[in-house]
Amino acid sequence: MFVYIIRRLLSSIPVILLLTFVIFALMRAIPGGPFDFAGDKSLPKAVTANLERRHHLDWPLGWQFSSYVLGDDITAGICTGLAFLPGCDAVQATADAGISQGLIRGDLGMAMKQRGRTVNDLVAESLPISFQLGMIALALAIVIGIPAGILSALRQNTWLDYSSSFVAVLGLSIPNLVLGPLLIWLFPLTLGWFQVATWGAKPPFILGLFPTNFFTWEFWSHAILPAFTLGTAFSASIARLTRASLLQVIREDYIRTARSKGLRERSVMLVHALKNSLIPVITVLGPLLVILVTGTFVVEQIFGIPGMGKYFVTSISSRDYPVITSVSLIFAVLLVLANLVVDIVYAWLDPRIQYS
Amino acid sequence: MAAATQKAASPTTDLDRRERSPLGDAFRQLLKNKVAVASGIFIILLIFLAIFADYFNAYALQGFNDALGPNQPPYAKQVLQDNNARPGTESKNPSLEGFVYWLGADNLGRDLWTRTLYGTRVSMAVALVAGTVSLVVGVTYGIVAGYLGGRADDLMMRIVDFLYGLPLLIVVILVQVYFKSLDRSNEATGLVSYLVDIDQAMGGLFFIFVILGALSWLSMARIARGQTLSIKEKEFVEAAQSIGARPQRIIFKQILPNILGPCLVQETLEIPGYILTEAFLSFIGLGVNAPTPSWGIMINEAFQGLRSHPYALIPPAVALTLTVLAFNFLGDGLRDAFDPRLRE
Repeated sequence: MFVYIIRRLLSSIPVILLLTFVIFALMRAIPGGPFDFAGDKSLPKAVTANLERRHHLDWPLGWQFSSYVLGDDITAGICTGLAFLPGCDAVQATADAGISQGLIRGDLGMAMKQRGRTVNDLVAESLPISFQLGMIALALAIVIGIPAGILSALRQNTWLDYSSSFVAVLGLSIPNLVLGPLLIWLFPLTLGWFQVATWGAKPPFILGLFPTNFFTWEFWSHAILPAFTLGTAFSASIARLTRASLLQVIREDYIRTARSKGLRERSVMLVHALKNSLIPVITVLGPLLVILVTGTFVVEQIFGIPGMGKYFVTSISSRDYPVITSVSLIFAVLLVLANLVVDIVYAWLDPRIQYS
Repeated sequence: MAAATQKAASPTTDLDRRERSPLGDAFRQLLKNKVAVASGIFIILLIFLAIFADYFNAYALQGFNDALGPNQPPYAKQVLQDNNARPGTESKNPSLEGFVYWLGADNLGRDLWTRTLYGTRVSMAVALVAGTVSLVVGVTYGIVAGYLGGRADDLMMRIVDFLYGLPLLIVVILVQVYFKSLDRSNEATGLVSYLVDIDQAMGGLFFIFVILGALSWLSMARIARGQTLSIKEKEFVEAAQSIGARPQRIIFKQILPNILGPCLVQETLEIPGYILTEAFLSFIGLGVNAPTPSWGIMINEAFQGLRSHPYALIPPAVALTLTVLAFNFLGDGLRDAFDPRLRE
């Protein structure tokens, strides 16, 4: 298993690098650059040239990418060793002007539009916020979804089941784009409850991820609405899955056996049925996690939360190349990790699955 | 032996006889599900409105109509020279006398009903194009991979897995940024400039079709392959092979009709995703071009003025939610209809 995990991680590196390169190249192919304007005014030519030299925008594309991944010193080193490669003269001429340490040393680059800030700083600030939002939404989805599913399976074909199933389809169908503005209008604007825009927790975060003021109203007044918006669809799909799975399990032979042994109904349900019916539910949490990661995009946009998704969208229009590339890279890595976790959980829950 | 094979494979034999098709069976089952039937009717109505939108609004699509002021509440009525009218409601255009904005008007004085109506056109076009591409490309790809099996299957599915591993929303956003910049820069040459012209003529929809089409077939390919793998091992396929049916015949007569059901169910359930992706792109300003009405753009515009004119949010929000709801109900109904365990 350990070997399998290592192999999966290693084999995903080329995929991620390829994606990063495509995004890297695509952004630079788009007309307009990060240094066209400073505020409203255009910059003097000499300043632009200096800035471009510092960020190596005067290099050929391949060497720029090399600087981003390997760092300036290694790139310059390659050029010294293999001077016949095209574009090497440009690299050698201005390699000293740059500051890139390279991905391999954990440096995501220098933000182009926010002077003096590294992408690492921006990520350290915004990733925890997206993470907190996603986790609260997931917790909300589980807390609402699983009991609702159980209840509607135990009361199958009653009004409770029908209405809960109907609400589940409704929850699945109401888009974040609709639910978000609706909640904002209803609660903060009309009733004056909760906060809208920004996020309740600020750095420093515990372990770099968790908020220090988790148990305060200030945190939750910002978190409840976006988390509910994000979590609704998930709780609906979890509820539907739990219901279907539990209905299937209570028809199994071992449930009849448990009943015929004279066990109390409650222990049959809680110990025998529920435990087994949750296996498929747990396995879909993985794919849900992936959707959750990109779902934060939409919700952060609507609620004005300064998470990674918001940074991503704003840095596109300002052509902040390192931010765009690095944020995409982080999302790709998160996706790979989420898929890996799913496969490991599959194997753990179902011993028949063997990875080698 | 050879003679028998030839005889059996000729088109007039029993191979052609099918008493009830899986699709026909499922359709009869579906008609018993009232919610699904209602959803189907609603979707047909939407398609009808999308096609004949021109006949269901009082004035032209772009119509600023330069008469009514911006942000009219529902039931705002245009009047000609009425001293008691609220400011901004006097019509300068006599032909619009008495025109009622029964859903109100947006921040530029445009009729919300008209814009919602034309927004239907965008969403239905997205559903139709992305749905068709996904069904045709995905099912073909999946059947080929599943039927060939072995190394070809491995390779083809590895490609799908690779694309699946990408953060697709990010890719969609970035590619769309690229397309949009082509649209605006007018620097494109050759084939690209031709595509840009098409896109501009379609109000920015063309590139959305391209993106959604390029990515939508992935999950369909997986489903189709999985279904093909299981159908391929069935006795009737073996029987067809044993009497010498060619692969095309097996694919079209044996495999395709049997996997089409699950694929259609999956497709119906994925269409809301396409519609929502377009709406989200339009919401963040990367979707259709400005005057083209899309529900995403309308939600964005209403969202800007949420504090003072919340009613502008209602038409696009209700339209989007109902559409997604209808597709989900229909998809659920179809899934039940194709599930033989649920039949009496």
